[in-house]
Amino acid sequence: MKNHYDRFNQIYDQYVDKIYRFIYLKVNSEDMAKDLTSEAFIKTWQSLTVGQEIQNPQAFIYRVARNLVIDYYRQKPHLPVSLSSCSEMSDPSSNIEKQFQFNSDIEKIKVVLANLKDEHREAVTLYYIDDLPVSEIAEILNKKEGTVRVLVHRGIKELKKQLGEFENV
Amino acid sequence: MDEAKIIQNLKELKQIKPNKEWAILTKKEILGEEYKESRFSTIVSTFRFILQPKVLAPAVLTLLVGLFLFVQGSLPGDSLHSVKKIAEMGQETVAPNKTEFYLGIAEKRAQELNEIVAANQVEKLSPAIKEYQDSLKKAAQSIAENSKAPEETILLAQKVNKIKGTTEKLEKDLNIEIKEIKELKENILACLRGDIEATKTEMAVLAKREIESLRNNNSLTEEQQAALAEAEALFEAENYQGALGKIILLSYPREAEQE
Repeated sequence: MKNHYDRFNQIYDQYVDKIYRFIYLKVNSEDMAKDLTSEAFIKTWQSLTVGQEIQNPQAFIYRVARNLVIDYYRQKPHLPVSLSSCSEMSDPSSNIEKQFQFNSDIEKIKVVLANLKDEHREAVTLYYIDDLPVSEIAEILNKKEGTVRVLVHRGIKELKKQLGEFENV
Repeated sequence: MDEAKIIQNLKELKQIKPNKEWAILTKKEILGEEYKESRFSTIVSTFRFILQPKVLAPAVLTLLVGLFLFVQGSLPGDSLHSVKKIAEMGQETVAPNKTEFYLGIAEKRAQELNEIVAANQVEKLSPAIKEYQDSLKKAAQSIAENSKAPEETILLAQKVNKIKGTTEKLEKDLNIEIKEIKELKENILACLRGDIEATKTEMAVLAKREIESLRNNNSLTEEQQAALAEAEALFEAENYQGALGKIILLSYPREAEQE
């Protein structure tokens, strides 16, 4: 049991920030991000304790988180975030907002990212924000590496387009 | 906004992180009892590691040596002087010769008192004098309580003589009387007298035995008989060393002549 504990400890410490961020950028809610992050790690711990072999813990935890968000969307449809409501997007008491201290460009990116197609958003988030290599992203998303590169490229293009529209609002 | 700027702004989103307290609490909740046990066992295993002889002994030794060297310069009245005395107590337990050890401590205290006098540190005089007196007392007690071989007594007497000289100078400089030195002198003199008496007794016993043996020897020459008579006379006068000297000449006349 000590081995499971150590393994989980390592996975948790290494990925809790990344998984939280990954989920937050998908669900746009701090509370929901915390709940789903917590659930993702509970599932990981349960897998370890039943003796499931986890070859690639990073890919494993990201896939678990991704599936949880998909389940969440099935229960609650994903509504596009209005560009005009970016100031209402976050919880005013949120630590994230305090950290950013009203950086308008960052706020725009967050809003626009939230409105991307899910696969584009995932690819862009994993590649540019979490700094994962294409091979790793391919394993997480269960896609080919070539497909991942295309998704990243299209994601950036879409961001650029939406930000252009944002500036025209 | 160009692509480079977009990518730069995306990277800024790395700042999105959960609250640290929440992260720790969540881990605790997930692990439950496992977390508590593991924290406890981590502490226990850390202590076990430290307490291993191969880890603890050198670590403790290094610490003690470092501390010992650091406090050597402290004087009575200094805050670290008590640490120095504790270190001396440790040395005392392993000292092969306790009396020699205590005399060494008395010499140290005398040296410290001299330093204080030289530096005119008036506030430290009283504790320093008290410590010196205590060290002399302890050395005097040790001389009285522990039996020694004659050659050791002579070495101790030499140390006491040196301490006596230092004390006399301190008494003069401070215009005080350090009574404890008197007891120290008396005790070492008593030991020396005891050794002399013991030696005298041994010589008396030896001389008496030899004289009786020679009296029963019927083959003595006239010269040897005269020497025996002289030895007896010296013995009666309690000059046992002289009596033994005559007996040696009597026993080995040819070697004595050659000498």
